[in-house]
Amino acid sequence: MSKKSPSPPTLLSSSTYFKPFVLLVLVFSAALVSAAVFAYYPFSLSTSWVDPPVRFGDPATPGVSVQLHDDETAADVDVASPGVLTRTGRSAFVWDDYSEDPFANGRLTANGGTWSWNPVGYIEVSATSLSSSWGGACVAYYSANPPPGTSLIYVLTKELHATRANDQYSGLIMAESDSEFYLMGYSHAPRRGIRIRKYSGDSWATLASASLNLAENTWFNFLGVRETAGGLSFTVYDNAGAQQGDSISTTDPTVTVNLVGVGIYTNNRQLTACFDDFVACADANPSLVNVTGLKEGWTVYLYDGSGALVKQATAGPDGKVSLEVLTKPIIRNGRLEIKQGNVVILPSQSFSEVVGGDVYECSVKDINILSFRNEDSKAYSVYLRVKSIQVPAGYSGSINLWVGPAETTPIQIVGSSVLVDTTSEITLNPVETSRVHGIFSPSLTPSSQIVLTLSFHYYIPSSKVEVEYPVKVTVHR
Amino acid sequence: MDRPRNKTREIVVLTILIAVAVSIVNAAVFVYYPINMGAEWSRRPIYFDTTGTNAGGPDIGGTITVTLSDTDGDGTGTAAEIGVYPSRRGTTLYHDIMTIKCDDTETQTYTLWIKVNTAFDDGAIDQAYLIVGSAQVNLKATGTAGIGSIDPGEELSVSLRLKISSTTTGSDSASIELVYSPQSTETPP
Repeated sequence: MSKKSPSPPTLLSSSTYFKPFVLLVLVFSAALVSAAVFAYYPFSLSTSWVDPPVRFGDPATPGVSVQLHDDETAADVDVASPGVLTRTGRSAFVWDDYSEDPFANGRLTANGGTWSWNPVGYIEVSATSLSSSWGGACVAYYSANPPPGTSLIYVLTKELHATRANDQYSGLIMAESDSEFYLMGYSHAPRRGIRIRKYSGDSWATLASASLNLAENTWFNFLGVRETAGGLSFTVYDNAGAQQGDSISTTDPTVTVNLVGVGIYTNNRQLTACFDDFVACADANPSLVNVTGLKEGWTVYLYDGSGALVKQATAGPDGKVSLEVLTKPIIRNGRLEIKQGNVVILPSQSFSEVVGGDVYECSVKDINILSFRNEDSKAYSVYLRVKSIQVPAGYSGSINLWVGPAETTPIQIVGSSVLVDTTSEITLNPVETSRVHGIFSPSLTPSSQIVLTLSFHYYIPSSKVEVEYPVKVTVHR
Repeated sequence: MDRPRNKTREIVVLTILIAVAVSIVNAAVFVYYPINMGAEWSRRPIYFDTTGTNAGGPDIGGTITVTLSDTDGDGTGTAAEIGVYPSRRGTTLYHDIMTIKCDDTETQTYTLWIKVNTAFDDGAIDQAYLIVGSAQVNLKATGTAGIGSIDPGEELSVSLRLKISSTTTGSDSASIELVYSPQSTETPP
């Protein structure tokens, strides 16, 4: 029986080598586990810069100073004298809301009857008999005359009467003298209606009439018009501005009107009448306040001194609006404001008196603040963006900025808020020049200013390669 | 007469012994452990593509050139050369000139880095940024910057923004690498 001899020790079974081997395997395994795998893709970039294809220019706009830098690719624009609303015309040669006594200071001259001023703000006349002049009428007239060359004389007043007697008249006076004048008014029963009556020499004549029944003790608005060629018309409106009955008109060139006022004819019976808001205008309708210099779509708001809206109107292509003030032709501490939608174009601006027939001009106009030209053979799309603004505390004005020949969607800034930060785009064709426009209506104090940091962008539409230039705009008075 | 011969023999034997001893001392001991290394290449999970981008479109001064190489024959690649012609004034932005895509057959999210080996160094270049997705990398300084990760099927747009202020025309180049890894804990060496 042979005895199997023990196997000779191998390299791994040898206690001398086994332990280092296990240790080596463990270290290698640990290295494998922690090893991160990274793949590298080569990626090269080369750039060759070329001349800028679009450059800025100075549009030479009065009040705008442009400084160009960096080969005309950066601009600092200084805008002075921004827009304002100014009254450019007042056609009223007499206006009186009777907030002060017109008899105390001689504005009104009365010939008969009992005239008085009510501190509430109107005048009142009562009479029971004919006066000794003016054909028996009780008249209060102004000394101011229509300016030479006047073609049309408008007289507007509020009227309220109280009488139970017949054939009495209350209304407007347009006179050459106390012996040559017209009385345009309302007469009570039994022939209720409106009349244009003329007193000449020693007799009265009715030139035009129409039936109309007006309530007692109620304010109405009387509007009379005299053409120097002889035309006469008279219309009554209620206090909501609705016309009452028909207008009446006639032609009589015999009286040259140079005095205006109010009056009554009592026919020796009791009559009391009140008058308020008297406006006489030359060649302008006192029932309208006009604003010019607007852009189509701008809306003008007229507020009275208490902040109540009197009227609003939106400009058409002619850039004008006429605000109807028939029932309120004299507005003390009136305010005008211009908006485009909800965007304030011109903040509320106060006037001590807004009178029917006035003309206000809005000088908030497009200002070309910067020009830019395409020197390339490619067309570019262009737009403007606002990056930041600095406005003084309390600033409430508005600024609109846009690019191109016509106003598209502008950057809109109201107060310290940026409502729209980017303009719509225009196409700048090869070798074309266009402009950055602005409308500025800052309510700034002389020492304060607004600083706008803008970026001017142009890009190739098909590849979206876009270039940006810096523009800084400073606005001040 | 025998003594000289014996001395010579001793010298020879001694020399041999010394040589053997020296060889024994210098002999290296080599121990061989078997390790099998395997490498199996498969479809590249991340690649560059220009399909639907502005590559090849008109530039301010020429054409936006994006050349992809190491392609699979489908127009995509794993190496890219980009050439642009910006304005020497202002800031020029190149939107979406290339995309980095992760193959939609992948199941792995990869972490991405941009390694700038050679930065733009011409003084005319005020700013140079590579924009990948929502991350941007400064190309005016060498170094490695993480740019986030990419999921299977996702693609990241590559854009370039250069602000140059120069009175003359000129050129410059940068060399970078896109690096990706299935892990995010270590940054690439």
